[in-house]
Amino acid sequence: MIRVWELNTGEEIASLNHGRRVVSVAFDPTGSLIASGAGDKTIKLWDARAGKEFLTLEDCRDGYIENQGFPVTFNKDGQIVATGSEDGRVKLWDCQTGDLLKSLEAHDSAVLSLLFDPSGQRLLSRSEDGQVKLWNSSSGEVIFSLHMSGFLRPRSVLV
Amino acid sequence: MPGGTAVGQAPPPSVTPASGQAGAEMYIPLPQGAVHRLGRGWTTVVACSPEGDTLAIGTSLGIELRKTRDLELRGFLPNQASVVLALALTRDGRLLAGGVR
Repeated sequence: MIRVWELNTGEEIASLNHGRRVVSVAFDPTGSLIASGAGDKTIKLWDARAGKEFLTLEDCRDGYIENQGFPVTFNKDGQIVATGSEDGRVKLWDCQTGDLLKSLEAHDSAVLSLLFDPSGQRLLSRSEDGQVKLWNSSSGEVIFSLHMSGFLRPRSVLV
Repeated sequence: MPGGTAVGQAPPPSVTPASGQAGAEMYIPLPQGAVHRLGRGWTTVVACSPEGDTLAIGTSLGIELRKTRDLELRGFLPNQASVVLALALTRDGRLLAGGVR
């Protein structure tokens, strides 16, 4: 379940039924779409205010990471949503059609963090084994990569 | 939201910030270097608005909303028998979404 509140009033304006264990939620930049990942191993896109599902992303069942969920993030214009997988892949999806645009073999272990930079051109990913990569999101090329293992393993990333 | 309007229901008495008076919750000293303890009960998730001005803290009792600048409690959304696992805020700070168990 995803609950949506209007912060001015504290009123709950929508309740989105995505089953149990909704481990990730993200808004698109305009605040009109929500992406959610849940224990049913799907990622769904919702109209935030109407409270209606409009898309389920297929072929993402390999992505669910038990109790850590899917990293999910929108690009700057809200046209593309990126998801991370347990098998180390990063997938880019068209938000209007649900089509898989690109599947990057990004990491050797589960992708735990994912975010677009403010320009929307680059994507930053972090994996469970401590690898961090910055990608050109249109070409899929690696711009920058670093690896720190053990206690130095990065726990979160920001861009 | 100029001035930070109060949000939702006021915190129930059990989660009102401790005033040091009788009946206040058990006080656990902050670790060295920590300036503030946020969240009551146990904290499951923390999220910041894209503009950085609002902090949402998901706890076993509900969701706290605070201004990042001074950490002042701006609102509290009590839990309804569900633990918050994920939180997101919109850029304009108007909507909050919570993924629950």
